[in-house]
Amino acid sequence: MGLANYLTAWQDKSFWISVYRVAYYGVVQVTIMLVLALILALFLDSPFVKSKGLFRVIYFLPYAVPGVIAAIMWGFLYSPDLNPILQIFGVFTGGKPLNLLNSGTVLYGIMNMATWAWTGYNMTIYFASLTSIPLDLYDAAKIDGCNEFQTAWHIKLPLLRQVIIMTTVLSIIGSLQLFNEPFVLSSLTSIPANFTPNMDIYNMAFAYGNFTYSATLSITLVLITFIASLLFMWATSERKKSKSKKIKNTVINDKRLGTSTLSYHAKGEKSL
Amino acid sequence: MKKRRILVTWFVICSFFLLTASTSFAQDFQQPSYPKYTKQATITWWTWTANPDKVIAAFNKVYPNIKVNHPLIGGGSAEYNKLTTAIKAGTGAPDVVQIEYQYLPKFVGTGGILDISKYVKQYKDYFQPWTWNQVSQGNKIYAIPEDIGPLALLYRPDVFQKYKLAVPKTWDEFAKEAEQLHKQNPNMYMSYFPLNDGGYITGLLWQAGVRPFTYTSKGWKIDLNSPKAKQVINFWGKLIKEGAVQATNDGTPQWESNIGKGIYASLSGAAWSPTYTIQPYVTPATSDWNAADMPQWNTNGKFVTGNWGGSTNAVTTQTKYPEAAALFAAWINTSAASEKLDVTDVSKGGRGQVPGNKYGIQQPEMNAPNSGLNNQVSGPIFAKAASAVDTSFEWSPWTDYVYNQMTVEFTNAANGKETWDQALDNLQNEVTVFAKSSGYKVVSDGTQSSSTTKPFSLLNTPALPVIVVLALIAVLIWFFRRRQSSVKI
Repeated sequence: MGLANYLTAWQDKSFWISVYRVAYYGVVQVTIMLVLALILALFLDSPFVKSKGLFRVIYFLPYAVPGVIAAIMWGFLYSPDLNPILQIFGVFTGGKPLNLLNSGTVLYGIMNMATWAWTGYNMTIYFASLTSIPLDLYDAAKIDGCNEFQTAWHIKLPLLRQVIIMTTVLSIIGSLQLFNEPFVLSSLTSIPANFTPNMDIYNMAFAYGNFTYSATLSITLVLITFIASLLFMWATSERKKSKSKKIKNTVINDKRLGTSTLSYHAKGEKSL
Repeated sequence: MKKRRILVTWFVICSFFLLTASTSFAQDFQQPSYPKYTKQATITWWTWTANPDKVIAAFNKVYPNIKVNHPLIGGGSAEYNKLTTAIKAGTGAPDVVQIEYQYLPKFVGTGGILDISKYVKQYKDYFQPWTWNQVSQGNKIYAIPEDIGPLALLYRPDVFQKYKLAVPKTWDEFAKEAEQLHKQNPNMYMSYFPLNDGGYITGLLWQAGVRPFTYTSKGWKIDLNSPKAKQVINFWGKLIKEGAVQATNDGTPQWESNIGKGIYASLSGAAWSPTYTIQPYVTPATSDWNAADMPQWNTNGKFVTGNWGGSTNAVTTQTKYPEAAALFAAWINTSAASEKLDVTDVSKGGRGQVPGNKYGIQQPEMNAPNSGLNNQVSGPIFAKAASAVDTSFEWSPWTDYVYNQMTVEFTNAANGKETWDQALDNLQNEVTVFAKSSGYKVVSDGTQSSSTTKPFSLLNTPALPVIVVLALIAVLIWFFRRRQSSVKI
């Protein structure tokens, strides 16, 4: 086996389809969830909300429900025969009740579950770092005539940058590792055993007994997660360091070449 | 001395007559003789059948020195996953384990199942030949058949009467009546097609004579997309497209409620289906179900049907008492006391099964009214089906994978993303690749393997878009950062 397994993994259609599936899931779900969490956290930090403790608990509560149990619960809530609210959606779909357990829509059902569970968690992280912002910044903003929205936009959001990046990276990793919800739902729907990469890996080892290939897929998934997180961090990292490097490099280049190029523009560099 | 010998002879003759007299009704088979086992042994049995305690108690009346534990282990995939792990770990597996026929080759392939032929080969004639075929490979015997699931048509007489349908004898009639029924009542379907249930679908293929897997000395021959298989799948595909049959997922709350609402007029069920797939979900208004013979593909030929489910008891290689374990597996599936329990309805304290041996199906309990089928005497129908199962069917060691890919492909086909023919072709390719990646030899027919030798075949991969997109993103980031950092200065 050995390297041949990597060759098989490279051509394993169903594995890569599951990777695309979680990638799509990640882009949609993480965006919705983090935007929601951010809005909630900013609201909580504003004077509009009175009983802050209560709201924090309410939003955080879903996270306290174990994922597996939440998935079972949602699974039954999604069944059109058990949930009368879904029948109402029939108005939009031409009489048929919305079935979130259909093979076409079940991914959105899972997105909803994850958003429900994790929004409060992320909100709490944001809220915690919002409370650590020095109050004199707000005072300064108030003196400058900022309203609440402007304060949020110009002061709070930029200061949350690092935390947002961190939660995004964690969420990207989390969605690539999607397992609990589809695993539980697989007994209620036609979710196949290779719906997500993690399920594929699990079943490859413990249902099919193909441990070596399961290890191959795991390492492939680690590589993908690693590269995706790294790319995201690179894209959003602070520019200072690289900037100073660039300046140094160009200065050294100039000295060595002894030319009197004043342009630091990219084109100028190339022409050197 | 002489007197004593006469006495003994007389006693033996008397007891022989007594024994045959008491057991001779409608029965052609002698009880097998069981060897003595005098040592002390404690064995563990993983099972999901009902009332295991009663079986063990009956066993201990004969073998009081073999203690049997049966931990609650869960059925189906829960048990299999534990067993797979325990076999791989080399410890923690039970002595005797219940395994369905279709999963036995997989566990044999991992080397976790003991060849018990030296303990049990004398019981061979006691079983239906095909069940015995399924537990043996060549001279090796890996398990003792427990029950079987011969297919019959389960239908609702009240619905058939209301819409003036006759119980279909052939699949053509079935299709016509399906269209008729759906036309008369668009909310009703003749039956359903469980996209997620490879066992059910395999049973239908089995009946049509499809032989997807054949083990040869050179390796495995995989033939999932044979013309016969395509005929069966397209038959159901056409009915699904017309709306006469509903494509669904069985075992889900949605499906359970559909059974309860009574939107299905029939289903292809095994002997255990009344107890497990009908009875728990029906309401008083929809509880009128009966069994009938499976519809046939050939109008005038031998009556054939398929099989769905049924299980065996196997002995693992980790057992410390192979002889005791093999004896237990054999005794609970052959002895008169155990067979009585086997065929007795679950509601009456038995195990409610159709046994895989010739003896059990002749027990009077088999002809008791079936509480799951409106007290119809369904035993003879399932007994007839049991003897009409096409017996040359073989299972592959990758049943879970095959079932899973069936779900994937058939769901695509039912949603119109591919044709049913394509679904089978894809299935064939995927299973072949998987079998090879698991280290099995596959006898290829030369058409698929040639594609891998093409130049640039490595580029023709589903992974390519991921790499391209990631690379593109990387280049974009690099480009923008470069521009920004140089612009700002």
